[in-house]
Amino acid sequence: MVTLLLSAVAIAMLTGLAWAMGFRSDPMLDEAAAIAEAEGRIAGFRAAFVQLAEDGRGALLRDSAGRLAIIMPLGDSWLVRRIPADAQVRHTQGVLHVALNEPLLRDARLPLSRMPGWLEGHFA
Amino acid sequence: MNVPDPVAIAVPAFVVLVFVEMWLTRRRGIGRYDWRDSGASLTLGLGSTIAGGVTGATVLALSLWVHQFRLFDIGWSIPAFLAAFILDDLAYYWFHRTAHRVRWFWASHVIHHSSQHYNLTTALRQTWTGFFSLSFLFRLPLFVIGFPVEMVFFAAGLNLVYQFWIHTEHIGRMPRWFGAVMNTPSHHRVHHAVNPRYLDRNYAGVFITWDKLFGTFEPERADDRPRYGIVKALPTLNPFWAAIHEWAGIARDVRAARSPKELAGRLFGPPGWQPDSAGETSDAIRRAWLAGATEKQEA
Ligand SMILES: [Zn+2]
Ligand SMILES: [Zn+2]
Repeated sequence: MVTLLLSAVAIAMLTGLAWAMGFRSDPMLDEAAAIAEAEGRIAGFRAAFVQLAEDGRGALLRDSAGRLAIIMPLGDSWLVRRIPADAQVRHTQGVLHVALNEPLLRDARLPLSRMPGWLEGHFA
Repeated sequence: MNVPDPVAIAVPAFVVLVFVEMWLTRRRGIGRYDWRDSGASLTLGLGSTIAGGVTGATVLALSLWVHQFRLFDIGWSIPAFLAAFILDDLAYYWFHRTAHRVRWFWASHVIHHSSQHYNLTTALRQTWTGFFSLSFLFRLPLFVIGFPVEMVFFAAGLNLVYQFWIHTEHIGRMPRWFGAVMNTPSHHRVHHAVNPRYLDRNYAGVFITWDKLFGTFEPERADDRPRYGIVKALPTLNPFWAAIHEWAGIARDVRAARSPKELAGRLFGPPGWQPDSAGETSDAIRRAWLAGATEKQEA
């Protein structure tokens, strides 16, 4: 029991220390970083178009084969998902919603003031 | 013979070394830490220790039971211990390889890979469900051979402690003679990477020799920097979801399975498996990547 308590204290201490040492950034993407992230995480994805999110915290991409990918923020890292061709996508009040239907990611969101032109015709 | 638990003894050193690595990361700008990720990793480490404590007695009892049927009576000696250590590492290699190739075992092991970071806290990100997925089976042959149960557990503990220091980006390459035989930070970075070239490579615990022997070795390359994590990164930093998400996925897929063949594939196929070879398994990813590479060359 004592060991357990000590361990919990050590965890809190190290986590707090990481925070205090400044390991708590919420980085922004530029186009090159967004492309590298998508191509590095999705096999065979070669980005042709990129639209960065309004706040730089994410991106929407299309590859040369017409496939779409979305990048969302996750801590100091990124979460990349391919958007299935039959996914429900809508754009309301400056936010793009993508129904990914994953347990913790039913509705992927990206702040976008307007839909990029290259997205037209992709979704009904 | 009563032997200590190497992991328990090493924990204070783990804490100090994590702090040192954080400091070095700040100073040198090498490696990456995020407080949310580290907190999750450390919590998963503690949870794993608790889970191990709960199931430890059962694993011990089972090991002692199997030991009754031993082929040889092996006593405590240095040569016997060395043999136990090497064979335990071989058993680890096959456990680890299976843990990446069979979804049932992957559901437990994925926890260790679920971070996009690679630092000393990642080493502590250990499974909660190892007992449930029956990972202890891989060690039983050592008891059948006749190695004392305590000796094997001690060797396994040392093995785990060894694997701590290789989870860092601060050590580039070890001397060639060392890396030829031993698992190193460089070799293990490859293991944690999702780059198609690196997927399902370098399963070693202590000796990289096994990968070289069984055809799963891949050296780290300067022109293909590792991207860490799993093919489908988790959408949250919550450690509880990291611990159970693949089991939840299995449950969902098992309920939806439409044939015995699909059921078997969902349970025991490679991670990412789907009917009609539609799944994004590491083999499929590697094939797609190789095809792309040839296309580029021909163009
Ligand atoms: Zn692994
Ligand atoms: Zn590891």
